[in-house]
Formats: sequence, structure tokens, C-alpha cells
Amino acid sequence: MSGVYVVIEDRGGRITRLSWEAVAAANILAAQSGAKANAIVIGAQTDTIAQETATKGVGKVVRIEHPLLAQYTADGFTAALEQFIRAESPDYIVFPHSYQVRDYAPALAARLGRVLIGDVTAIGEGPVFTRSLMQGRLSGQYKSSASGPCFVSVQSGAFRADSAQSAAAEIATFAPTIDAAQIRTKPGEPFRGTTQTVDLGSAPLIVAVGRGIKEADNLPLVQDLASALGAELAASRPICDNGWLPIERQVGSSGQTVAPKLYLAVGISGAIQHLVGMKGSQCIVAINKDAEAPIFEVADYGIVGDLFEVIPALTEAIKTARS
Amino acid sequence: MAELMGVPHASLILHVEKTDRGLTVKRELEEGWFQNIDLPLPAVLMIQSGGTKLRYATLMGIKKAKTKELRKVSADQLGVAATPTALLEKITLPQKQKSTQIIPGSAKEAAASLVEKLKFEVRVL
Repeated sequence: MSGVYVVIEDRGGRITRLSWEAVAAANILAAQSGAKANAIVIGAQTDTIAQETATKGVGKVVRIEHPLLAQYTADGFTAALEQFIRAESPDYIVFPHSYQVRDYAPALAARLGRVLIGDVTAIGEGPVFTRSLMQGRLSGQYKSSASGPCFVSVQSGAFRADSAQSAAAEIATFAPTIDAAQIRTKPGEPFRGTTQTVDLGSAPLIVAVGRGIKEADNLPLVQDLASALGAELAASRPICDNGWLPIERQVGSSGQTVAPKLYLAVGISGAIQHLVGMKGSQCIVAINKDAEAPIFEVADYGIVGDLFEVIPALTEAIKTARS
Repeated sequence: MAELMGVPHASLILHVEKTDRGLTVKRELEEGWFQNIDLPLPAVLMIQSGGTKLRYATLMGIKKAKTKELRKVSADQLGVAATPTALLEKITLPQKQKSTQIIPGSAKEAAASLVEKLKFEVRVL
């Protein structure tokens, strides 16, 4: 095995938590051949993030640096990583399964005649990669059937990041050749949609509502429960897509990530995009009429029943307990 | 797909606008951030949910669909013989991440038991 590499992602110079989880996953993979994973940092100026990465238990750090990588573009990142992979022939490349990775990693894999085994939740001996199928109702085990490189991205929250500091690893530089004409898209500056007025991240209690509520007119039912509990109201994506609640109340990969003391999910089936935003909560309660809904996989307590009966009863019981 | 076709792509798109040189698309980033991207045509676009309203088929449309011609194209006809580079070896039921305690009873009974748990075990009441 000529090595496992993990691609580190940063936002404005701050390395994402998910990147450290990817390092942990890459080290599990590398340990199968008694080695350590090597890290790749990529951008126009990677000095600081390379030094930070070097102390996180990796074999070595490679800085892939070019002025045209200052802002993320799928074409720029694909071209740079392709050149590195062709030069280095690694066996495995591990990515954090972020929106950015979803944007370019499948193209990178296709360019090298491979596929991306995406959103992996576990790595077993072999190696065997586990990922969800059918919205989390089944789980599939995949094996690479070609010689390297094999491309794998890991799901947020699936691997525990190791916070221990190690002695600084060696840092090397790789300078790709990129021509401005290769970058076909022109990215604009990122911007926020609305000014955030609700900070769900600091709310100790959250009541979240999903598609099971059926109509906007039924929302007061859940609002009453939230106010009886003294909780913030949150929602899954379909509710915000329909404009029933503002987008700043959305929990999940495209919304906010929360970890309150109590997360009470009402009529939320638990699509993985939602689960990654709340599964770190201390206590999760799910109320859903479908006993097979994936939300019950992460719940501490569950009530299988019709929310239109359970919620009013629960609101009453909480009011009584509070008075 | 864009890579195999040799055209640019953009993903998680909420809004598409035609410009003189191609398209401007609004992309969703993580944690409530967005970004506009200009790209030339032809291009492959991956659309995010919520950006457009779904069109449901009318009864007439459903009836008409039955009379439309269906064309099947095999991989052979296209001259494609790709060997898979990743194999799905096994399908299993997902492993439970937590032991979920399902609270039984009628809506009223379940609500009462849950309140007990919230009060004495989770301690949020």
C-alpha cells in the first residue's frame, strides 16, 4: 500500500471539525497496513493550516498550493488533486463529506476512472466501507474492486476526531500546474441569506417539526408545545422549503447544527441530512407514526403514534407538571 | 456526469438565470451561506430542493403519458462496457446507534410517561 491521504478542508483559514473526523477515519484505514494517514491541505496560502494539521497525528502533510486555488472552484481543485494523485499514486483518498467535497470529488474520481464511495459511516477490515441506502433504512457494505486510487468520503459525526496533539509531522509542498483557462466557472463571494435572528445553537431545549405536521395551519399545535416547554422551535428542511417557517429555524446539513439538552422531533422521519444536524443532542425524543422511521435509530425515547393526538396530550401534561 | 461529458458543472442550485455568456446560478453552501457562480453553456446542473415548485401531473397528462413512445437503450448499443470500480457486497439493516426506549400506551398515557422521564431522567422540567 503506497498510502492513505486525507484532504483537509478549511473555511477562511479555520479547519472544519469534519476534517478532523476524516483524519480519524483515514487513520483507521491506514492502520490496517500498520501506517499513518498523510494529510493534504489545498489552497493559495496553506502555511498556517499545514502547521496546525501537522500536529494532529498524521504521517506527513502535503501543501498543494497555487494562486488559482485561492477561492474554491471544482475545476481548480479537481485539476490540482488529479496531478498530485497521478504523481503520488496513493491507494486511498479520504474526504470529509461536505457540500464542497460533494461538488468536486465525484468529478475527480471520474477523471481517474473511479467512483466516490460517499457518505461512509464505518470502515471495517478489508477494508469494507459502510454507507446508508434508501434514506437510512438499509445499510450497504462496499469494497473497492479496482487498484488504487479509491475515493472515500466520511459522514459528519460518524468518526470521533482525536483531539490529542502529536509531534509536528514533516511538511512537503506540491505545486500543481494550473492555467486560468482550465477554470470554467467564476465563483462569487459567499453571502448569508438572511440576518440570523434565532440562535438555535445556544438553545438548551428544542422542539423540531417535520413533514408529519402536514399543513402550515397545524403549526400552532407544535408552537404551543414549544412554549409550554420553554423551547425554541426548529424545523426540518421540507417545512422551510415550503416557507412555513423561516430558514434560520432549519436544522440539518444545510441549516444549523445543534446539540441541546433536549431535542424533541415531531413528525420528522430523520433523513440523514437532518440527523447530522442534531444527533449530538444529549437527549433525543421522537414522535412519529412510522415505527420504522430512521429518527428512531438515534432517539433515546420514542412514541409511535399520531402526532395530532400525542402533541396536545403532551402539551397538557407539561403544563400540569409545570404548574 | 459533467466530467465524462467534458463540460462544467455546479451543484446544490436554488436559482438559475440566463446571462449573455451562459448562466448565473445561486448555490447553497453550508450553515446558511450562499454563493453565485457564473458558468458557460453547455453545463450540468444539480438542483437543490426548495428552489422550484413541483409540477404535479394532471389527469389528462397521466392518460397521455401512456401513449408516449418509450425507447430503451442498452449499454451495448452505446458501446459502453465499464467494469465497476466499487462493489456493493452486502446489504444489512442499519445498526442502532442508541437503544431507543419506546414509550407504550395511548396518546395520553404515553404523554404522561414521557413527562415523567423529562422530569426525573432528562431533568428538563
